[in-house]
Amino acid sequence: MQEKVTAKKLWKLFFIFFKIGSFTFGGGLAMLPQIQREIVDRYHLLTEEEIVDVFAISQSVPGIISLNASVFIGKRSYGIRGAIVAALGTTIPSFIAIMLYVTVLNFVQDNIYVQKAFLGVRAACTALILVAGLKLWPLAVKKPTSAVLAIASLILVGLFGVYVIWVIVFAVSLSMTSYFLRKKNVIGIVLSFAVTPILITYIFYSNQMLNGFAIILYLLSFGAAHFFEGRALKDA
Amino acid sequence: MPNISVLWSLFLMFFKLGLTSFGGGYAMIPLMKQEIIILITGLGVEQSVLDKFANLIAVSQITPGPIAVNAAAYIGYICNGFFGALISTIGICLPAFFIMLTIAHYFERFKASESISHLLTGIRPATVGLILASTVIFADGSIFAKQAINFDLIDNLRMQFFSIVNPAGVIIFVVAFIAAKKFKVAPIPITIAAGIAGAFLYQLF
Repeated sequence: MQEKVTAKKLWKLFFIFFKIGSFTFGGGLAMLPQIQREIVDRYHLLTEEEIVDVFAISQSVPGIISLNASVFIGKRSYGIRGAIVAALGTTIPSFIAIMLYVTVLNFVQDNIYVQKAFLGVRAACTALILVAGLKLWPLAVKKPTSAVLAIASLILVGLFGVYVIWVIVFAVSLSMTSYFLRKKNVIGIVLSFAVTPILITYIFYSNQMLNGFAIILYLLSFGAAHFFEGRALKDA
Repeated sequence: MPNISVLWSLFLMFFKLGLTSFGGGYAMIPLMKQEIIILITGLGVEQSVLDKFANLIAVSQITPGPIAVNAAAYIGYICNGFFGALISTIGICLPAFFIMLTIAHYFERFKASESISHLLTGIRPATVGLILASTVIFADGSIFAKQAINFDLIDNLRMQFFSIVNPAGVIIFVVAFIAAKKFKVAPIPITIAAGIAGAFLYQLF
């Protein structure tokens, strides 16, 4: 970052991300290998080790994975202007593509073949998303409690239609509680678990009984899994 | 004409999505659907938006770029034209932008934090569950013959277990699953082939 940031360098950064954004189909995860090739192998803006960290962090904070990565790379390479330029480069192609797409679609959307083609694509995408989810499963689910979290959030959201933000809040609260339990930090346990009764009261108060009962079941199953996991650890 | 109140709610909705969705585009879809239902009931946006939403993933697969940006631009457009698309895209990008700026600044400390890494191990399984839950949304109407899943339990149980599955959808689903899982075919050829197959197969059933 000692070197001087010139407009020319910023333009170059913009075009790197513009190119990646325009030629990668299939979403953010497909963009990561392209980013690595351009940023590390071709332009040497970051090292191999740094990019691995960048990808790990981009996938673990909220938001769009590829945008997270490009903002980070832009900031690290050329400061705040770099971050803005990289973010614009990533999003503009996708925005333009959608605008072109909806313009074309306006002319053909009443065509019966087009409508049936969409149904076919939806059926195939169900399979594609399922494959993507199954690929992530062994990476994310390593303990019985994680398996309960994953299956419970699938059932809660997919079948019961529980509001997704609640599922995430409870997942965070539960994992923090179990972290502090292991550390035997009483204040931490109380604080991270305090959110649970408050939210459940709110959910019942706003008259969403079904969601409330579903979430209580979720908590019970997580508690049971945690209990058996502890017993299994003690036995071993 | 851009409608200011709809634009503002679109911005808030996508800002919220950008702030709370872990795990990228696919994991974002269930929350996106719930938020759109809220938007429709609260603001009187046309019901047809929900029907178009089901085509969202098809659109995202055949246009380049991150799925979430595609989705935001598409949904913004069908709700409120060009300005809707612009506002939605800005809304979904802003949180990620500021979060990553902060993290890039405190990178070393962030990497070493034990409680943050523990927090993430808790969120990741929930994210996998959300990704799998989004298959339910796209199976609805394409693999299942009727609009089976309405995010309503009673309706859900009744419709889901007694509605007829669509043979065309099942064939495409199975073929696409095997192609992707076993033969590692890239998403784009699968998407295009499924589109062509769908245009003809769904006429039969």
